[in-house]
Amino acid sequence: MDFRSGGRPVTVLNISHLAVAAGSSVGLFGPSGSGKTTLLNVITGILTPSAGNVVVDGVDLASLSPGARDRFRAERVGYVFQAFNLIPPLTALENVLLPMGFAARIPKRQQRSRAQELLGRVNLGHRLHHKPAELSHGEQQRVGIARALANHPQLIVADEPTASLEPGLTQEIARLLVSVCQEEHATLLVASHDHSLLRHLARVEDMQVLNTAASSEPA
Amino acid sequence: MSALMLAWRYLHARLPLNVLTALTVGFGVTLIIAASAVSSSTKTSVMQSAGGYQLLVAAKGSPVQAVMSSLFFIDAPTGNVPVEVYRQLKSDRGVARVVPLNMGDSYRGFYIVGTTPDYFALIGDMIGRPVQTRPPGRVFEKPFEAVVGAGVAHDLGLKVGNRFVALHGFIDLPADLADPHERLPYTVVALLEKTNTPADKAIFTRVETIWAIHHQDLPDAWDTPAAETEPAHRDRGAGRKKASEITALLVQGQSYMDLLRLSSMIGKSPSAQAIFPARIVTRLLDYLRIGESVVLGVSWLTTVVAFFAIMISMLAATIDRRRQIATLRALGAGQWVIVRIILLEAALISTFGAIAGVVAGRGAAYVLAALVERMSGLRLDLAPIASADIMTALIALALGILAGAIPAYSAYRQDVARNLSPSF
Repeated sequence: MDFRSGGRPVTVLNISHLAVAAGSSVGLFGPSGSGKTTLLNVITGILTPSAGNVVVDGVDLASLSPGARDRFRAERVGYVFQAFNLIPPLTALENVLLPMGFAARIPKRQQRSRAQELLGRVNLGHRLHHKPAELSHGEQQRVGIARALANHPQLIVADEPTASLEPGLTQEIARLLVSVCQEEHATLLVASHDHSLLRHLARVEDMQVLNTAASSEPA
Repeated sequence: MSALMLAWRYLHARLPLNVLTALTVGFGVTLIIAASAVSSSTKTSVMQSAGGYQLLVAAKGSPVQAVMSSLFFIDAPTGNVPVEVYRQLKSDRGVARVVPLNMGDSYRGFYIVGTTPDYFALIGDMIGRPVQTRPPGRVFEKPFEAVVGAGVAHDLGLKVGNRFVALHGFIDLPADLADPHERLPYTVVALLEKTNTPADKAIFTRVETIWAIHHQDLPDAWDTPAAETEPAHRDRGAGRKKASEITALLVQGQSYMDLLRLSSMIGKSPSAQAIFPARIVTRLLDYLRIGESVVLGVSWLTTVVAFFAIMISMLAATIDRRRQIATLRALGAGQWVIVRIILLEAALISTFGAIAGVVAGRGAAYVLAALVERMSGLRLDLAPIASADIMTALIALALGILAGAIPAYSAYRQDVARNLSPSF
């Protein structure tokens, strides 16, 4: 798979083969610029590869229209962000309800109870109606994890999920992320350069080995 | 969570700014609605008032001034016409009714109009019901008896039995410059019920009173017994002469052909002119239409500026929310969902602005109508909500959605991957 970017195309991603088994947890390890985030964006259909294929849960993303890729992402992918990316005017509960409105997987009358249940599972049952600005970083990331699980996705991608957290919280969030993904039978793909997070995952891939474009770049 | 709910939350998150933007829209809509409502009802009201008078005979001069003074009591008369013209019209078989108007004095800024009871019959025909006096009043029978219009009675607190002294002329001058007719006071004998015509803003007396107060004897062969002018006779002295002029005449013809003939006949007179008030008012309204167009143009311009405010505000919000929009896309929101959220936000701002504008515009129109009524006696009948109001609100809404189109397009085109980057 090949991904080129920019006005003067530069190959930023060149991966001959990467397979992730359903239900497993895989870490993508590497320094900044090694293509971790780009790979996650290609896998989630945010970016389309210039060449090659990305097949997720039996679906070749390149064959989908932009609208179908959006629906695919809404229904089958959960995204956990480095900077939490909660929507500021919405409460914790509403942030978790948000992706349910983009997919037709959870019946309307069950959405609220599903969101409450997810927030309960990340120990935020008492913070349902708090807005992001009223939550600590750790709490915000826990809302982010609950939001990623909202539509029962087959795949959870987490881009540096602990990079914005205080060191003491890394283990707690890592354990939570892995455990809820296991409970939901979701595949977990984590991009990080944090070893203490990656050791919670079943397998770790080194992006510098995986991505020949990154390794062939002059230092 | 629906796009509408999300748009609502975003709107709420920047409430002060959005309220100000909506108020800017509302201000433009207010101006349009108030200007349109008042101008349209003024035209209707003025045309109805002027249309009730078939022909006006006044001294030569500006026809507009003659109409304003004789029909609306808001300008000085153009002069006087010979009493002979009145006699001529009265004896003409084509004339159904001729009402004399004698003016020259005022009381605290309100015209004193010398006339006959036929004037009230004419007003009654115009408003579709007889003009009533409030009990225990009665129409004047003798000179120096005054029948007071409803607006004047309200403003000056006059009651039946009150006496007052008129002032020569139409301007309430300072005491040292004023020329009061102190020895010849008027007695209020009746207060008129409200007619919603200029009659509400005037005081009426017998036509002979105006001659008497200006030391003139009745014209020859005048059909009022001279004894009835008795208070004026006390003032009899040297230099008195017979009255030979009257300010204006309101004429009702037997037919339109009669009116044309009478107009042509009067037109030949060297000192009088015949005016069709409806034509003058139509011409006047045509002149005013230019001003009305300017006001409406400025109002629409204000509204358009308000929509630029929406556009700028929404564009700033879109730039500000780049990461949030990218997050929504990453969570599965399609490009059109983002477009919908931004258009809904712009539509909500313009809807609130339009609703506030319609409410404030109607409110302003009612206040202006009350002021016009207070100043001129003309009642402006404003419809509770006109189709033009709804159309203005809908145009405002459409403009608001249009104003959101550029920010929505900008959001539609955003680079999701780039904007998701924490370093961006």
